[in-house]
Amino acid sequence: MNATTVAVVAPASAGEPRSSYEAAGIELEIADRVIRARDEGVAAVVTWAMRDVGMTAAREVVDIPVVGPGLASMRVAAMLGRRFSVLVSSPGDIQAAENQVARYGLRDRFASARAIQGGARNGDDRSEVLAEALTEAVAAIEHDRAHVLILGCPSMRGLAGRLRDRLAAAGYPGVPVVEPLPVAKRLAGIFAELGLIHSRRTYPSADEFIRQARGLPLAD
Amino acid sequence: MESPKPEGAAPTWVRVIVPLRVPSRVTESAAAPFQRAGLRVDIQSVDEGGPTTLECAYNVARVEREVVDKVMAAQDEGVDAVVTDCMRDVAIATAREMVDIPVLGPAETSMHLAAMLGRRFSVLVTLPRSIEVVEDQVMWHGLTHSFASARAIGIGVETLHDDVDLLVKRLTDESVAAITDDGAHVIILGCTAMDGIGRMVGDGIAAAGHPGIPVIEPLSATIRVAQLLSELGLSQSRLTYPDSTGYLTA
Repeated sequence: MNATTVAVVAPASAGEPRSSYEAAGIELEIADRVIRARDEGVAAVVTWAMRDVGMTAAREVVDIPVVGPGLASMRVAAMLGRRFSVLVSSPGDIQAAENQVARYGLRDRFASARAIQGGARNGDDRSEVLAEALTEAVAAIEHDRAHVLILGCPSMRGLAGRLRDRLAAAGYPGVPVVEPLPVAKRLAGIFAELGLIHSRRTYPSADEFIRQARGLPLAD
Repeated sequence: MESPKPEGAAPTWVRVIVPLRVPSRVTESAAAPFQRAGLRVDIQSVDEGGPTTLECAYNVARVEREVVDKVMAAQDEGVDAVVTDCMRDVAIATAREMVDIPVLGPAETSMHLAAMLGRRFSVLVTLPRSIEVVEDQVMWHGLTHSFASARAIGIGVETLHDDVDLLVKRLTDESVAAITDDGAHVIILGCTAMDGIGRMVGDGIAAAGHPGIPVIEPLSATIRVAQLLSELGLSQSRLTYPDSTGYLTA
């Protein structure tokens, strides 16, 4: 039923970047992998990291939709309720989320970013991650006036439904919990099917600069 | 790509509610372009006494209650998500308090989509009186930072399709003005009756020297976002839109 292929582009060395330095280290690789995915004929691309690493660089190069899970989840959260909070895995991620909020013009819709105690521990006991996410989710609702939650950490992947149920059992029914990657993938597919690509005014083509960097002759 | 639903599952059912008086034969044929595998779209309009345009607040007030009632009826029928077919986003906030299924307005939805595609968007409305409506929506939805302008093409909704060439020309001209004068990077067609001519407007903008400007047709985009939300198990927050069915009198 999904004829539209959406590629999730991740760096070869898996692992969510935990600092700007790590993000800088994978940005070029992600942009290059987006270009390769475009050349392979995919309809749209999702850059894999919550920090949307490589999204801007890739958008300047390719003419297919490129969607970052941070941008997509924050915008969808804003459609669903007054303010959102992002649950992240380390204190350093809080500033990264706040930077995204400022850059995307979403300050009016932002409640907070909160780090779960255990941090990013892939493969660890999920019930523990869930319990920590629940604690921070309740704090986000009670103290930061969040109406929508975003799971901004890979250790929480796949836990949206369970967190929503736990919140309802704790006295907070009907609080949407947004999982960034599936939302970004679906939105990228919709953009492709509707023929909507990021604006060339916002993301001017970088073709000439790439040609120069590779030592190829300029056009004309 | 992960399939949102098991094979053979019933398609996601999105109902479009037109807050205007429209003959039923029109609504039946109008649903055809939105149908696709895994998605069922039907269109329902308000009853006989409804208005023919929502370019004034009085007419919005006339239909709001009926639209909410139709959203509630849709949920009872098993509809998965509802979209209202007017950029006024008629009754959205009220309806969200009355049902659990996602309820989406094309203005709010398309503005958030536009903000994902570029720095600032402009909305092209029919008559100048709708410019303030768009500005109100932008403030209400916290989109001031992503907003360039609202511009009117000077053709009312009731005569919108009398001259399609003129409609495309006016939309193209105002788009170019929005880009060059207002700093718009994305264009939203600000009346759902303009759905279907986005490609022509985009081509016109490109021919005028501005290639690569996305032109959003709000109704078709909003239907797809409604499908997405339903299939991912998402709906409006009960903290923003508290359950108000308890206030219904028997």
